[in-house]
Amino acid sequence: MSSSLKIDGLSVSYGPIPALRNVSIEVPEGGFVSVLGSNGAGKTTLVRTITGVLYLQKGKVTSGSITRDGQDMTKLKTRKIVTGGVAQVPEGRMLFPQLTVEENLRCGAASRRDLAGINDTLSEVFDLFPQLPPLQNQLAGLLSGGEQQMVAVGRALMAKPSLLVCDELSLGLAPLIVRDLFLLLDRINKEGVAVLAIEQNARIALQHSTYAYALEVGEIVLEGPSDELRENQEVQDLYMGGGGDSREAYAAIRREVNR
Amino acid sequence: MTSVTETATPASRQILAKRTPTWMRALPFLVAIASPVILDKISWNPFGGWKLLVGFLVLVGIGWFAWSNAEHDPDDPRLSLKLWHRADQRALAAVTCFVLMAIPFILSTDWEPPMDFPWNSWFRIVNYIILFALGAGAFNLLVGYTGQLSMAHAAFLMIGTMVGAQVGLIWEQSFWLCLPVAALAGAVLGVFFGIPALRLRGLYLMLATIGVHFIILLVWKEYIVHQFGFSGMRFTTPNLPSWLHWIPGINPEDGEFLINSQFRWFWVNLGITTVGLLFIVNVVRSREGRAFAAVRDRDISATLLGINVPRSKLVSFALSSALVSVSGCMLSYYNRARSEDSFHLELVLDYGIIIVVGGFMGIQGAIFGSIFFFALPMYFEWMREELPIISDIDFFSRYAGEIDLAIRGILVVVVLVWRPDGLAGLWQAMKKRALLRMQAPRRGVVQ
Repeated sequence: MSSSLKIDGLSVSYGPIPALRNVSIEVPEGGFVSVLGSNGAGKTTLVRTITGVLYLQKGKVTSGSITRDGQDMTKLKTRKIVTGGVAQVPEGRMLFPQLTVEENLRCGAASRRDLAGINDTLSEVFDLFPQLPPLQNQLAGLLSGGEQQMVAVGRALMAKPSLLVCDELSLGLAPLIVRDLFLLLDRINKEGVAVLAIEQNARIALQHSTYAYALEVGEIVLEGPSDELRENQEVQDLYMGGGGDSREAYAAIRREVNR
Repeated sequence: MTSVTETATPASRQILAKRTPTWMRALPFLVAIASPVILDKISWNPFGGWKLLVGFLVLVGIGWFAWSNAEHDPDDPRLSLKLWHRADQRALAAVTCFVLMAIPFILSTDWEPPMDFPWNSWFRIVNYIILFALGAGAFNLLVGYTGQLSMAHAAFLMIGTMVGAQVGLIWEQSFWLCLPVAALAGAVLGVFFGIPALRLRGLYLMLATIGVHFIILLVWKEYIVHQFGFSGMRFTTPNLPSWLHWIPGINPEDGEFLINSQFRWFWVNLGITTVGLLFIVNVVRSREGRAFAAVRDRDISATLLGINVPRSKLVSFALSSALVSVSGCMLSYYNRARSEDSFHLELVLDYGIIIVVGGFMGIQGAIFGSIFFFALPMYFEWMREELPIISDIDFFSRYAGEIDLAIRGILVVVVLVWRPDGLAGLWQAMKKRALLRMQAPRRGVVQ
């Protein structure tokens, strides 16, 4: 099976501080993969490395590679990566608050030049999110969090990606809205778009993805099919809040990991 | 992502409006544009009794025709990319077109308004408004749309003037050649002086561009002293090229048609400003323009979407300074004389006041702001001299300039507190309200 994205032994550091160590992740073509991790695990660094904006924070790839279609992506400019079909839903939505919803969506197609195709994609996005057409001419900054996240996903889809990277889709949203968004991700995934969901909310991420990785202090500590991980005691203790003795279990695992 | 769902287009998004032929939609605009010829033929003085009424009826007729023949579908995503697609926008555009065409004819009548209202000197004000609207629109493209706070725009007025002087006076080429050369020089230097914007932002960029202003000021002083001496530049009167003499209303005296009166300058200024402002409007609606706004709102997010942020900034600098240079060249030819200290740093503040008061978003802001900026002092002057009680107060006439500035400053504060989106925002809100009121009874009948 060919892979949409293959991260191989990636290490990243911000100056002397290492952020990722020997991380290997593979997203199969049309697959739905999630990366779990708590705060400071290196999730955001991972996304920055994939989308090529590491330089903004003066980060450096020290070893390893990110390959896509046999091409190393670590040296590419962000706009080349986007043109190559990787779109990102950034953490915290990052909409353009003073542009209307439609302008925000059209900004997502900044890497494309075919106006007719962009209009078609816009109609598709409006069909996918029936809540958005009535809000079309509203300023994005005035929308609710859930609507903003929909615009952010729609904006990423405007680039017609073959790989969608979602950074913390559930951040600051009500559980019901998060569920709806993940159902939509499922639908997008069924259309053949590979999804890489970077999530703190392990429960929902494991429900929807087929394969998952757990990132802890810059290293992959666990990986496996989502169904198996869901049953895994460690994962339950770490990310889902396990049974009564979860606190001790958590401490034990943290000790294990940090050793 | 291929087509996500196979559901048919919702009924709300099908085109509902009736199709009208293009010529019918263009007709009000054509009538408005043709009106000066007719006005010229009948030597129209609107203040001769019934003529004012006829003029008003024509105005309303043109607006109504444009309104009723506009195609409008609020939910078609493609329509929002079009300029003036809504009925009210089309009607207003046609009316504005007609009014602009009528202004010079109305202003050149020898009508004597009551209380010695300075009728003729308004022509100069109108010309300044038009010229500054172009510069302010270009300034807004950079500051309002791209969010790059630049103080170098007085410098680009100097560059435009220097190009105009070099090409028009020293190389003795036509005025019409000066404009594209000024645009080109402005664009190239704009890119060059925009390079600091790649690393600096906000107040730091502002300080860097103040530096640019003083560098160019030095060049300007050297240039003017070496080429023209201490008396400064005196610009020649441009003339219309002979291949344009077919235009109705133009009767060349002894073979050349000089742009030597306010009336003639009005058409030149209006034409070039309209082209310039329409250019800005179109840039802003385009992919490039959305990239500008994206860079302004969140440049990291813009990077993530594949927007080339440095390029967007430089393109914005280039377009803005090209248009400001053109307006500088035109201002100098219109003003006829320029000396060493014609362009001071405060000119940028003037542009700043214009776009802040007018409103940052949209080109309307530049136009409303220019009207505010130039019409108010004129109006105050008249009040000081003619209004019964005010003209008696000696204090007002003794500190005329200071009081003008103070009132202008207070009004800026009032506008900003009351309406942070400026006069353009006020206008939009008024328009929205009027439209709602117009549609309210109809909605009750239909549904």
